[in-house]
Amino acid sequence: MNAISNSNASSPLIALVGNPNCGKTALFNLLTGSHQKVANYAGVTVERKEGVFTTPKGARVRVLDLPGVYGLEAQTPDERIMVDVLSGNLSSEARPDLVVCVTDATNLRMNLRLALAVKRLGLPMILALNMTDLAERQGLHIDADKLAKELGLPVVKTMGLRRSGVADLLNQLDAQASVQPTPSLNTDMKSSAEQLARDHAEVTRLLALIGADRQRIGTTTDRIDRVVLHPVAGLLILLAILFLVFQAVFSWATPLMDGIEAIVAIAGNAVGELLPDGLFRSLIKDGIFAGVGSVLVFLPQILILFAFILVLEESGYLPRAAFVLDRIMGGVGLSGRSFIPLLSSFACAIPGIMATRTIPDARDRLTTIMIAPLMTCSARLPVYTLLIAAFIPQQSVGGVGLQGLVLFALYLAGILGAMAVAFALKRTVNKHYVQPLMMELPSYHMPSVRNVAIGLWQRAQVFLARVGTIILALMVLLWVLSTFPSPPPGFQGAPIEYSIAGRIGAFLATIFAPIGFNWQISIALVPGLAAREVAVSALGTVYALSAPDGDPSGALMPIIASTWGLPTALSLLAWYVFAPQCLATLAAVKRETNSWRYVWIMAGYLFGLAYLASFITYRIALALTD
Amino acid sequence: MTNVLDVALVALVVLASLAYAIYALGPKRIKNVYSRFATKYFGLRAAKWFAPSKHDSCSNCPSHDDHFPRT
Repeated sequence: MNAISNSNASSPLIALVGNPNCGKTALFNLLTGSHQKVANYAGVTVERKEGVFTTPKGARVRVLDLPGVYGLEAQTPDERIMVDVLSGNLSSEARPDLVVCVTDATNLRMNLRLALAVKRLGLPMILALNMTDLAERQGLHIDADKLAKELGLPVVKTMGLRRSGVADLLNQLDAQASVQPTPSLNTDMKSSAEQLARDHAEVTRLLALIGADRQRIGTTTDRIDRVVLHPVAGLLILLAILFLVFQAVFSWATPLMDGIEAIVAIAGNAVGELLPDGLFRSLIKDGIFAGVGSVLVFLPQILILFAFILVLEESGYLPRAAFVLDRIMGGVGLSGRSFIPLLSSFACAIPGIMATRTIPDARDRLTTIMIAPLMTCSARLPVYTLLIAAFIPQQSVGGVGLQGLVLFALYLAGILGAMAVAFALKRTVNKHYVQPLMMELPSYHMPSVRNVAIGLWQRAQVFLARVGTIILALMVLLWVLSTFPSPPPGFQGAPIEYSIAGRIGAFLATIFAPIGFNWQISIALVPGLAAREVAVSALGTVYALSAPDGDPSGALMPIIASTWGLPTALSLLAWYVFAPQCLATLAAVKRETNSWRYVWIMAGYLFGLAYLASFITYRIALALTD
Repeated sequence: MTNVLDVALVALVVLASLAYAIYALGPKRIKNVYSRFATKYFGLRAAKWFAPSKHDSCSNCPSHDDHFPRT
C-alpha cells in the first residue's frame, strides 16, 4: 500500500500539521486554490478544513488543514481536532495516509519539537520548511538536505505567499507514491518529561548542524516592538490606529456612498416609470428598491473598515494589541486568550464565538462567548452610520471629525459594556484566578496585497449575498405585511397604519415608547432580529409606504432626520450597542455550548441591558434638549 | 397590466421570498426537507444548492457548519 497512490477506495488523505501561525492555511490555499482565512497570528484556524487537489502526475489527493498545536497533548477544543485526526480517533475520518509537517523556518527551535513528536507516530511524513524567503532575509541559510538526512524524512522548502512556493512539495508528494508506511502505527500521543528533554536536545543538535542555531537579536521586529509593546506608547499607538480607522470609515466612504445612492435612486425611478401603477410596481419600488437600496449604500464603509482590519491582521500587529491590552483585560477577569475571539467579533460575532475554542478553561470560554456579541460587528455599521450621518453635524472638534468621534465612542461603549459584564461574571459565577496570556508574537510582515484584496472581495461577496438573499426576501415579506389589508375608503392617515405591520408596530410602540421609539422603528426591529442591518432596509420600506403620496422623497437619511428627534436617534444607537439582534449569533451560541440555557441567558441579559441603556440615554437626552 | 397578472406576479415573488426566508432562518431539518424536495424533483445537481458545502465553506455562515466537530 503506497502513501499517496491509493490507501483506500477514495482519494488518499494528507494532513497539514504544525505550530500555530506557521503558514498551514496559506499552503492549503495554494494547494487547493481556495481562499480560507489567513492572518499573521496564532489561532486563526479552529476547525478542520478539507480540500482537494491534483498532483503534477495526476494523483487526486484530499488535504486537511488542521488547527495549529505546539505538542500532541491536546488542551483546547481546537487542539483536540488535530490530535484526534492524527490518532485516528474520529469515527468520521480515516487516519491520514501522509502528514505534511509545516514548520516556520524563522522559528525552527519551537517547530522542530512538534515535527519530532509527529514523526514518532509512524505515519509517512514530509517536512515543509515554510517562510524560507523570510528566513533567508534574516540571514538564516538552512541546509535542507542535511536536515532531511538527519531526520530521515523528505524536507522541502515552501513559500506560502507565492504561487510557485509549493512546487517542490507537489513533486515530493508524487515521489511519496512509492513509500510504504510503517506497518505498526503508534497511537500514543503522550510525551514523557524525559522524551521532551530528549527532543529539546535533539533540536539543539539539529539546529547547530544545519546552521540555524544563531539567536536573532536586533531585527526590525525587535526594534518596532520596543515602541509598540511599551506600556504607555503602545496603548497610545493602539488608540491612534483605532481612531484613524473610524475617521477613515466616514471621510473616505462618502463619495462612493453618494454614487451608490444615486445609482439606486435612478434605477428605482426608471423601473417605477416602466411599470404600470399597481401592486407589483409598489412591491418593486417601495419594497425592494427602497428597502434593499438603503442598506446597499453602506458597502464602501464596510469595505474600508475591513481593509484596515485585514492590513492589521496581515502585518502581525494584532497579537501585539492583545499584549498591550492584557493588563486591562486581566483586571476585569478576562483571560488573555479572549482577545483574539473578541477581536474576531468585530467582523462578526459568529467566528468570534467559534474562535473561543482556543480557550482551555471552560468558564473563561463561556464568559468570552457571553460577551462576544457586545463587540461591534460590521452589521451594526449601517445602523450606526445612518443615524450618525442624519443627526451628528459634519463638523470638526479640535481638528477631529465629530461623526468619526461618535462612531469611535459607540465602539468604545461596546467594549466597556463587555468589560463590565465580564467583571460582573468574575465577581459572581466565574470566581477563579485569571489565566496568564501566553502568546507567540509573530514577525512583522508587509501585508500581501493579494490576500487583502481577496479578503475584501470575500467581505463584499458576503455582504452582497446577504443583501440579495435574506434581506431581499425579508423586505418582500415586510412589504406584504405593510400593504395588507388595504384601508377602507375614507381612512385617515397612511395606508400602512391600517396594515398588519402597522398594527404590530402600534402595539410594540407602547412597549418601546418609554425609550423613545416610534411605531416605524418598532416595526423595523422585528425583521431586524434576523440580522442587524435588516432594520435599515425595513425602515426604508416602512417610510416609503408611509409617505403621504405613496412616493417617498428618496433617501432614508433626510426622512428620519426630519421626523425623529435627537433623543430617539441616540436611544436607538444605545439599543444597537447591546441588543442581540442576530438570530445566527444565538444559533452559534447554541452550537458551541450545546445548550439552550445559555442562549436564553444571553438573549435575556442583552435585551435587558439594551432597554436600560436606551432608557437612560433617551431620558438624559430629552432632559438636555428640552 | 391586468389585475390578474399584477396579483400573479406579486404572489410569485412573495411565495418565493417566503420559501427562501424559511429555508435561511429555519432549523436544519427544514434544510433537509428542501434538499429532499430538490433531489426528488430537480435531481442531485439541484440538491447541491441546498446542501452544506464541504469545501471552501464560509465559516461565518451557520448554514455551512454541519461538519464542525461538536465541542
